[in-house]
Amino acid sequence: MKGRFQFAVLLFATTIVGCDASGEAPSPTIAKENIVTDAAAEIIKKIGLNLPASARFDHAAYEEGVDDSATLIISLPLSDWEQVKQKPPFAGAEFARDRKYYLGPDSDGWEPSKIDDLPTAQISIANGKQALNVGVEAGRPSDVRLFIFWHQL
Amino acid sequence: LAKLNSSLFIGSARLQDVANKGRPLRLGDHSPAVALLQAGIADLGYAMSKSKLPNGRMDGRYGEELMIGIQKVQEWAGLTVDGTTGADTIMMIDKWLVAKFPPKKAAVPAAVAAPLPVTRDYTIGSGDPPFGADPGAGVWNSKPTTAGALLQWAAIERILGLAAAYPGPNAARHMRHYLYNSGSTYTIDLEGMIKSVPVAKQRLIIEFRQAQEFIEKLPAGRHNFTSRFAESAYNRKSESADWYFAIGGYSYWGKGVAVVSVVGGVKHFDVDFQFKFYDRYNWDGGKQVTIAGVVITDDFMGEFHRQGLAREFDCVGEIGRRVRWSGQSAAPTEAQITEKVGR
Repeated sequence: MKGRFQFAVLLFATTIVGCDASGEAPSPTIAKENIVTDAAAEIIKKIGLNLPASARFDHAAYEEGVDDSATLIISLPLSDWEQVKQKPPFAGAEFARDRKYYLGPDSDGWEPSKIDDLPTAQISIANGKQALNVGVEAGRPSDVRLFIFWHQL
Repeated sequence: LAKLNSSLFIGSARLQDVANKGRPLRLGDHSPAVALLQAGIADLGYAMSKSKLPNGRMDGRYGEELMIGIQKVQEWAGLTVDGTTGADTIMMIDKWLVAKFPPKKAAVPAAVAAPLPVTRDYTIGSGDPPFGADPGAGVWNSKPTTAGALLQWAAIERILGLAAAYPGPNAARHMRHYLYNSGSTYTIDLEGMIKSVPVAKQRLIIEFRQAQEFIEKLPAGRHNFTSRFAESAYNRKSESADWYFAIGGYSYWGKGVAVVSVVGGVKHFDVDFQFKFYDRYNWDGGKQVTIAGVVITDDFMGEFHRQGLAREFDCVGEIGRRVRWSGQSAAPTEAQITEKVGR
């Protein structure tokens, strides 16, 4: 419960920094990218993903409900992605351009519908109790961006 | 003794031996039985492309690809995930194959006379694909009822009585069904969900298009068709607070009956399409929501189930559409797929 509370505070802090409408710079001690990274680290731990140190987090959000859900945008060097996708849970996943697996509606910082070329795959994890929907932005020269929508069933 | 029943596995002495707790099949094995196992895993929809020979047959080698497929089956079925095919695993695969490809009954000569297609998403059959089920908060009524839980139960029921307090009618109905403790299967208002949640409507359209791709490859005749996989989706709060609290994540798939006729060289399709839905209503795994200022956590919602004050249940749903079209170029419109029409 304590961990959940800290996590909620973290996401709340993300919202505060992200919604700063006053024009004032956020506190120099809490850079937004660090907060996103910390929130993403919590989510990745909860989902059970194992990513290399080169992974960069562009977006992370978590929503609690009857079933919890999370959205993540992760950038990875192409060479690292080639290795990551050979290992569980990505191993065996078939990314297809015409599948359009569930990535949900666009929201602040989460706009998969604006990506033209986004092959997707759906991966069942945790004995079928959770789903990992993954879109891979193709056509980038040296890295890939992963759009991940995770949810409980 | 266990008995294999799927048409693919029946007749294989080696696989029957595995089912009877004989020596498991494992990494490094190479035999015709392994080829059958590879075909079974491929039929269930798992990737087996690396194991397929140019002539379309499986290579019969128990390699990494088969091991990964077996691990996924084991993970899905809640078995020990070791990539080795023992009795429990072969029986589970056999059961799913029977569900997916039920034994054909005698009276469908037109459908079996011609070669039938299989697409990535659909196949011939009337069974349901395997889908995940959350085990929930534990055994119902396995703990003594406490006074504290009774008070909390009453507080939640009061919230449900306040129309404005709970986020919507479906969320309230589902919660009420949970608190009223029958555990009986509940049929949701799937038509209502499709109307209220834009992404759910999209899922129906995409599922139908996948079925359509398969149906348009069928020869003349009457055919039962079904999804090869259940997919999953999620009702986000931003789209509908009511359905977010009522359901959250869910599984869905398609099935139905297609009658294909050919007149003047043009194919005509008359399809009874069913969009199927499944979810397990439960409170477990660290869930917590705030409704009307009251924090509802599984700490007590799951406890209701364990104390026999409430009971988890299956949510099911189905949407039926009768759709007709002719030729590949006159595909049904989205309105034909999404809008319910009197029949």
